[in-house]
Amino acid sequence: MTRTDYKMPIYLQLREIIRNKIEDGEYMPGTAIPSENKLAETFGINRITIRNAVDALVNEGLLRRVQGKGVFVIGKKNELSIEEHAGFVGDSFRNDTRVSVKELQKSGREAGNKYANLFGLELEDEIYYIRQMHSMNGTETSIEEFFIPKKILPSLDSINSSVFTFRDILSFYGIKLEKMKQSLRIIKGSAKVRKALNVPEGVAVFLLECDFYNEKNEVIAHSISNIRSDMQSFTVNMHK
Amino acid sequence: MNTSVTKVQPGMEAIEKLEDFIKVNRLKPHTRIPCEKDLCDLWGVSRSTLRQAVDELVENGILYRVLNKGVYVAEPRYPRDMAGVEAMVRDLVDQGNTLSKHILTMEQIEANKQIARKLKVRLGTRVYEIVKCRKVNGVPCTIETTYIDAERYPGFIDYYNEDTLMAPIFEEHYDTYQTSGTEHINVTYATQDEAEILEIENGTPLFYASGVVLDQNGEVVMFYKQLIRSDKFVFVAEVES
Repeated sequence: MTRTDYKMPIYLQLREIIRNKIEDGEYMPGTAIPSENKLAETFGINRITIRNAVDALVNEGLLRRVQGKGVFVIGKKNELSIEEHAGFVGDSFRNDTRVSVKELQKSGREAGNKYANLFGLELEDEIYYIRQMHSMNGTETSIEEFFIPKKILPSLDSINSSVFTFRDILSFYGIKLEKMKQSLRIIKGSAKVRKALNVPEGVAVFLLECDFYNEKNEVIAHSISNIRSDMQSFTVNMHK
Repeated sequence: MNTSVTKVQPGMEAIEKLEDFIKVNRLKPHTRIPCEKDLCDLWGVSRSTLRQAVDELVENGILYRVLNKGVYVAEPRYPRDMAGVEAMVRDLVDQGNTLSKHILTMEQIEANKQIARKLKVRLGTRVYEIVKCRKVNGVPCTIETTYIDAERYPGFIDYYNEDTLMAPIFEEHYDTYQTSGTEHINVTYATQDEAEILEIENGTPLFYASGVVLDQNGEVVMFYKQLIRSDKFVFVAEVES
């Protein structure tokens, strides 16, 4: 058996121990976890290591530090099934979370180099640009941008993107959404995005980009979402 | 709201032009892009607009800056298929990358509450815990912790080593085929130990993927947690609608 000795076994890592206690309900949402001193004593680990682990969970959005009061359990984050991320959605409920959508901008624009190449258009061809702010239970969570050639959805300007979903609108036009190619990155996020979403210092941003394809394997839309990583996580179902 | 054709915001236009410039010219990683002044002249944008566009692509890991030298194209991130760890290993090898793994710890432990719940076994059941670090082209990229029911898969850790793969062991010795599963993708931040193993700075954001894999009968094969360097990997999925 291969074994390597580490100065501290990984399974003793405090971050995972605290995470398990939250998942197992030992640390209940709304309650404070033991103080750093108490944790240091219980696990025989120095306070810097404790602080380190707690900071990670605070930045993940599982714990919240309240000045002078302690560190409190927030509980589960909202989970989005990656298959369900299919273009814009209207106001909705996801689990117990109220998701509200505000259309910040909707305009026609020139395709420009990037989108002319992506959609197989001329530089001057018109595409729609929609920018939305999504909030969960009143907290701004993500900025979603959509790029759709005008020839795909000619009268998108008269349809409210915060009422109908992208799938609905495609089906109004008899367009079949065949597949989506998604990519998910962790980024720092631009100053503008961080400010608009009030991303706390030290918290990263998820950048989710998606290409939407019709049955002729043509890209019919593109989306870019900047999402607060302390407010949202993702699930994927795998099948072979 | 009535839409009208509007001019693309200069900042956005500059970002798109830069992205397109890298793509169309097929710029290889570590290629220096033309200096700010040349790009401003080429595209008719202001210096400050261009600088902001470069900043944003640097933040997003598409470009990187070298002090007093210029701006370069970053290495593309490796794809980590959302279909799981096994697909990731296969894809990386297919693309000609060199993979190696280093087992950090491998031992039999008693299932705690979380492990018992995930593996659907009694509390205290003997389970194998395997912790390993994977390197891609010599760079440490992931730390994976895998839990396997030792009563259902006795002797698993005798077969498993740094030169074998898990899936063939399950298939050959236990007639178990990994067929489905659920994965949760989250973010976490490297603790000191993880940072040392992954050769990154303390507190760097990491992907935190955890999940269970089921066999052909819908029984749990394993529970895993994978920490993945976010500067090296991008999660990708192709979803049929």
